This record gives sequence, C-alpha cells and structure tokens, in this order.
Amino acid sequence: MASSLPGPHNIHTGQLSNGLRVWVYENFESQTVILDGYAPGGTVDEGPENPGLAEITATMLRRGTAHRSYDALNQAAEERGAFLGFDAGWHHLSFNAYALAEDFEAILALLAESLLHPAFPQDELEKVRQDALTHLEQRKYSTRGMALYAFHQQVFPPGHPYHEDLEGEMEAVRRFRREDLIRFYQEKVTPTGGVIVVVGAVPTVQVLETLERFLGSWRHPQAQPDFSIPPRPQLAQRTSRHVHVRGKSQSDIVLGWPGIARTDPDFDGMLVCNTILGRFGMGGRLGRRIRQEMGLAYYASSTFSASRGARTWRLQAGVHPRHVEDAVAAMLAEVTRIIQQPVTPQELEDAHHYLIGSLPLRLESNGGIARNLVTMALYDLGMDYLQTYGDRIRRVDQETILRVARTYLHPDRYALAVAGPSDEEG
Amino acid sequence: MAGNPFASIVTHRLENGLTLLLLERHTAPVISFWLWYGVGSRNETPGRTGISHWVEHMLFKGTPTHPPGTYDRLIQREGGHFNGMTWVDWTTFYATLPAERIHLAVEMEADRMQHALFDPEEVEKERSVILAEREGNENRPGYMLREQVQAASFLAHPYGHMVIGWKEDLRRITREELLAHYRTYYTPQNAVAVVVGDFQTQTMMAQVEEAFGHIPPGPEPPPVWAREPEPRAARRVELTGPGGAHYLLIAFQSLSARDPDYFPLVALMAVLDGARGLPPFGGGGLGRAARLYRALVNSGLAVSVHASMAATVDPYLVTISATVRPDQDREQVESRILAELERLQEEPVSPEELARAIQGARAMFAYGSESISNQAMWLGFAHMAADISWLQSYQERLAQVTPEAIQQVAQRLFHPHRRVIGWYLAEAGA
Repeated sequence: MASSLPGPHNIHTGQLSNGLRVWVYENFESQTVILDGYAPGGTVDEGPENPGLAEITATMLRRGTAHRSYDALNQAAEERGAFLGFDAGWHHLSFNAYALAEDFEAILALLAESLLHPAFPQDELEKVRQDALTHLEQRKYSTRGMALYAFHQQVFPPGHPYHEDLEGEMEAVRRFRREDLIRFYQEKVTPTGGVIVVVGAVPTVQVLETLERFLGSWRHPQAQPDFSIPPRPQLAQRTSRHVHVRGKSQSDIVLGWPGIARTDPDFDGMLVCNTILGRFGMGGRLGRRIRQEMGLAYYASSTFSASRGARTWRLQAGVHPRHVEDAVAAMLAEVTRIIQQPVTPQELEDAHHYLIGSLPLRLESNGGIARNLVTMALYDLGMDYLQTYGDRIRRVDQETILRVARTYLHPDRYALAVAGPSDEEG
Repeated sequence: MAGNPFASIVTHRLENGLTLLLLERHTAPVISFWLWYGVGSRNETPGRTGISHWVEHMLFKGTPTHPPGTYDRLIQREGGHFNGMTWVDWTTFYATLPAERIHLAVEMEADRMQHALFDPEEVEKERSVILAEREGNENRPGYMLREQVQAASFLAHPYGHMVIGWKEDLRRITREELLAHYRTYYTPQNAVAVVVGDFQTQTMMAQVEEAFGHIPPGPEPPPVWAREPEPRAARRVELTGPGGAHYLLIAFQSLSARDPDYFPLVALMAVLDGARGLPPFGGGGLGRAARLYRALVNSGLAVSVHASMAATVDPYLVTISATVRPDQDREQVESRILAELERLQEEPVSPEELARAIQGARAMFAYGSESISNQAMWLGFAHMAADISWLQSYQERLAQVTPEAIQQVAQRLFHPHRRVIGWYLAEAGA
C-alpha cells in the first residue's frame, strides 16, 4: 500500500523566487484542482492589544482588490463554480481555492490579485466588523462555544499567545482601522517560509510555471512574523468555570489539559491513546461509558489539537444540566483508568488497525490529500510521512500509551468548563 | 473520470424484493456499501413521531451474533467509516471500507435487517440518548425556529414534524412499537442496497445475494395516504428566546423530485443562492454572486442569507433563512427577500445568470464525485426520491432549463398564501 500513497516518488516540490515552497501532487482521476496555502503571520502576531486583527485582515483579503470590487471578485469566481477563501490561524494566514482543472489559471489569478493587491475597502471593513461582532455576540448564547472559550481561557493564562480566541474580542474589533489591517498584513504576513500545495488534474510543470508567474512577485520584505514557539502552559491545580447560558436545554462540558506541539515526539502516542480514550467506535471508552452504558449523552468523545506550540487535549460531552456531575465523574474515572492500567491488547490492535486502515479513505479526494500534504510541509514531517505512518503507529505500544497518558492526563489537576442553563431551567 | 460518472450503473432485484444498484469505480481500493430503507418520518403517525430515527439507533445496539458495540468495532478496526442516517423519506446505513473487507458490512447489514435485539434495557438507554440529542438541537435557535415553521407548513402531511420527533412522543414510545415498526419497514422488499467502488459486478452481486437472498421479503409496507392540501392561508410564527441575533425562516410548499418543474426549481435556487452539490446534503461555498447575498448581505441589510430545498418523495419545503442583527431592520429584510421572489415571478432571469448557475452546478458535481462514499450516497438517495435515470440525467436536465421555465416555477410556488414566515426574536441578556 505504501508505494501508492503520496510520497517522495510522486510529490513534486519547488520554490518560488519569493521563498514560497511549492508541493504538487497530480491526480488526473479527478476533474478538479485544489490549492491550499499557508503564509507565516497569524493570531500570535497581532499583539495582546489587538485580539481578532489577524482574522479580520484575512477576511478582508477577499473583500476587494485594487482592480476589482468584492462583488466583482465574487462574480469572477462563481461564474466558474470556483471558490476562494482566506483564514487566520495561530501562526499563519491560510488561503484556499478550488476549481475545475480547466479554470486553474483563472482561480490562481484571483488568488494572486487578492494576495498582491488587496484594497481593504473601508465600507467592506465596516460590514466585516459587524459580522465579527455578531459572531462574538452569538457565541455568548452557544453552550458549546462558551464551554470551549471558558476552557481555553483557563488553560492559557492571560499574556499567553494562545489566550485569546482567533475571533478576538469585541472591544478590540470595534476599533480596528483600515491602516491597522494594512500594517498587520505588510509587517506580519510573508510568503517567505510559507507553503502552497496544489493537488489535482494539472501537470506539475504547468503548476510551477503558473505559480511563479502569478505569485512570484508577492513579497513583504519588511514583514517579521514571530517564529518562536509558544511555551507549554502548566496547570498547577484543578480549575473550573461554569458559564450560565439561560433558556437552553443542555449543558456542554469541556474538561482537559495542555496538549503538545505538532512536532512533539509524543504525537503518535497521543494519537493512539486518544483514539482508545475517546474516538474509536462511537467515542472510544468515553462514548461507551457515558453514551452507551449510562445513556447520558448523544455525544461524548475526546480530541487533541496541536499547532507550532502545545494546544489542548480535551474531553467533551453534552448532557442534561442535572447529569453534569455524573458525566464529569465518568470522564475522570476513565482518565484514572487509562493512567493506571495499560490498555488491553485488543484495544491497542483495534486502534492500530483503525488508524492505519483508514488512511486511504482520508486520501480519497483532492481536498483530503491537500490537507495531509500541507501538514507535512508546514511542520517538516518529511515527504515520506504517509508512507512511514503505518510503521510509526504500529510502534506505539501499551507502555508508550501508559507513559503518554500519565504525562499529559491528570485526574486531580485539570481545567473544567461547563456552559448551560441552571438545573431548574434544563 | 470525465463525463457522467453514473452512466454504467447495474440494477438487479433479488427474489425477495431487495433492489441492488452496483457501480464499479476503480480509482482507489475502496468500496462503499449502503443499505437504504424506504422509511422515515414520512411514515410516522401522530404519537409515534421519531420512531424511525429511534429504530435506526437500535440497529446499532446488537444482534445475537453481533453484540452491542461489535458493528462499529469491526468496521473501524479495518479502517472503515460508517454511520446511519434517518430522514423524511428514508433511513440508510453505510460503511466505506478497504475493498477486500467489504464483506463485513454486507454480512452485518443482512444480520441486523433480521435479528436486531431491541433489548429492553438498551431501549431505555437509547431513549435518554435520543432525548439528549434532541436537547442538544433545542440549544440552537435555528432548530427551534425550523421546528415551528415546519409544523406550521403542513396541516395534513407527516413532513410537519422533525425527524427526531416530538419530545412527548420520545418519552412515551414503547419497545413493542419500535419492534413492530422494525418488522414492518426494515425488510428486503422495502430496501435498496447500493455498492460503489473497486469490485467486479458479478462477484459483488453474488456476495449480496448470498447474504440477503434467504431473508423473507417481509410484509408490504403500509402506504402513506396523507397528501398536503394546497395551502390557502399565509401563516406567521414567532418565537422569542435568548440569542445574539434574530433569525428569519420563510418556507413555501415545494415540489416532489419527480415533478417536471423540479429541475427548473434547482436552477431557480442556484440563481437565488448559488449552485449546490447534489442533494440531499449538497453544500458548497458558492452563493456570494447570487441574488440573495447581493441584495441582503452585500447591501448590509442582514448578516447572512441562505436558500435551501430538498429532493423528496412528496412536496416538501423551499426555505429562505436569514440572520439579522438587532440593530438591523427586520421588516426590510423580510420585504427584500419577498421582493426577490416576486422579481423571479415577474421577469425571466438573464441568460448569463442562468449560465453561471449551470456552470456552478457542474463544478459542484465534479467536486462531490471525488468520493466513492458520495457517489454511493447520491445513487441510493436518487433511487429513494425518484429513480436512477433522475441522477443519470441530472446535469443534462439542469442544462436544459430555460429562463421561462424558472419564471413559471416561481409563479407556481411563491404565492403569498403558500408561505409561512417565521421569526426567532432574540431577547438580550445571556
């Protein structure tokens, strides 16, 4: 199977004259093409006084260029059935486009125009600002949104680069000026050190030539994004926060810890451990206990996220307010079990099979291939990452899982967030 | 894979009535197996709403040979993914697996078609799981509004209740009722097996025949007699509740998938809100060049606006939804949307707009076709809502739509007396 996966033999690489790395994977089974790109400069670069600036800047790249209004951009993309979008991440501006392969050059031209000549029109800024404020206002009434927010606020203390959400904070969003966006884009975002992945029915030679022609002159020589790695926070004790959201039927629970960086050697161990704890089947051990045995929740699972710095490892469930205590107790019982006893050989084998066997399914579409290639390129995981994936997963044994669980999961110190109605309301 | 990916479907019917649809696709060593039952909320009677969805849950709760938890474990440990879904017209179970393991899904589907346990204790646990699922839905203003608008849209037809069912019914339905529902509808003669992927047709046909061929056909499913009368009165519903924005949902009774005006309606929706992927879950990132977005969002009247429709056995709903900030003018949003619908009735769309809608649909078709699972879903879904030729000719029939046909379908559907306007009004203070 390994040789049929994307790897050094069929991923083509190059570099544009502006330092943007290029990975190309040809797929002529499809009729489409996808471009996924990441340029250094993200939320960690906006500074503590400007939460939300990176996100607004990314959104505004799509809102008009020196040559075309927002509406004209929309018309140009959609007359081809093509999509173009920008987003901010913690450390990067991301851009994404997909189109029929015959429209590769046309969609690339629109992408380049947006990246090289954004106009940041004032009237669009006001609309984008109002949208952002509305989303922040809506989140106040979302039990899941507020539970996640309150959880992250506890894990990442004030001053930590990951303390604020990507969406930012209302007071800051209200005062951003057009000049702030232009300065952020010029001084914090750069193609140098970034990567663009192109997957689909376009020959590599054409991709490399066209990318250079359209994007080679995109340069921000004065940009200085922060390339440092955010420190891994420590939880010294148990903390909890209950956010009252009135008028709801259900409470959402998030309980967790700081996680690891994407390049951490424990990544594969955490992946297998998390699969057993809260993914496999219908939510792993958590789903089995909280949903299937106790019947408390429709969803109960665990997840971990990793970026350049350590993000989080967290357990989540949605339950009736009167069942919050039981669900939290069940979560902690499963955490205690996984740090006290090795997982069973059967569980380990199931998780290995699942993670390895599902890889071809995750690479079924151009989008799926592009997502994997971007991660490989962005974190320097190696071009043979997918081909060696099976061996790495198989090397994760019971001892590794026990060690990883004991290192990162602590039933006596964790951050807990619950958002929902009071017992009487639910 | 240029051209129509659905040109070479093989259809076969077993003696017990099970329909089999096969499509070889050798792009990846993967097979997707779907079993569709012609039962959904459309087949439910008052007092038993949500029973189809509940039976779907119970089919994951074991058989004598596959105890609870076995199904998901066996599929996933082979790297597969699986799920079950219940909708208004159908219930479906699927698994996508590495090709050499597909027999697991075929055998287990045949097993749970006959031998689901409905253990009384598991029935009770699942009752509380489904109540939790419903309560999670209730947390969203959009769900609360949809439920009320849908109920106000149907006087006679069971499409008026949500698939998950009313809470009162979910608290009451008994194990015996669930079992009776299962025995009535989850049978070979009410089912369609769809297989797409890396196999040889004759071999796969034999494999399905071996697993399902011996199962008795089951009783004739009771027909659905209910027909929704032509609407005669404009209706309004209004809810209030906590929220950061107001939500608007306008609904009109729609057309069945077999209606000759169905494809003009698809094109009309693309003109209003951009091209969509194929139903039932056709999503897409398009719509910002379409009429509603330009009129409502570009102009600053609303935060967002979307239109949606579905391909269904009986006429369901065309809806237009919008999110409106408290400082925006609600009345203006409502009247602007209605003005856009009137415009469709009064003047033909321009050839350029229509061409954009068709091209968008062509692209969406291509994006969605990359996944074997998607192709299997489309195939089964098309068969349940209409027939295979409906899917095979989808792009062609869409391309034949004329501006006049769009105008005619707009005139047919968008009468004031055919609409329900619903608002969820936000009360400030989280």
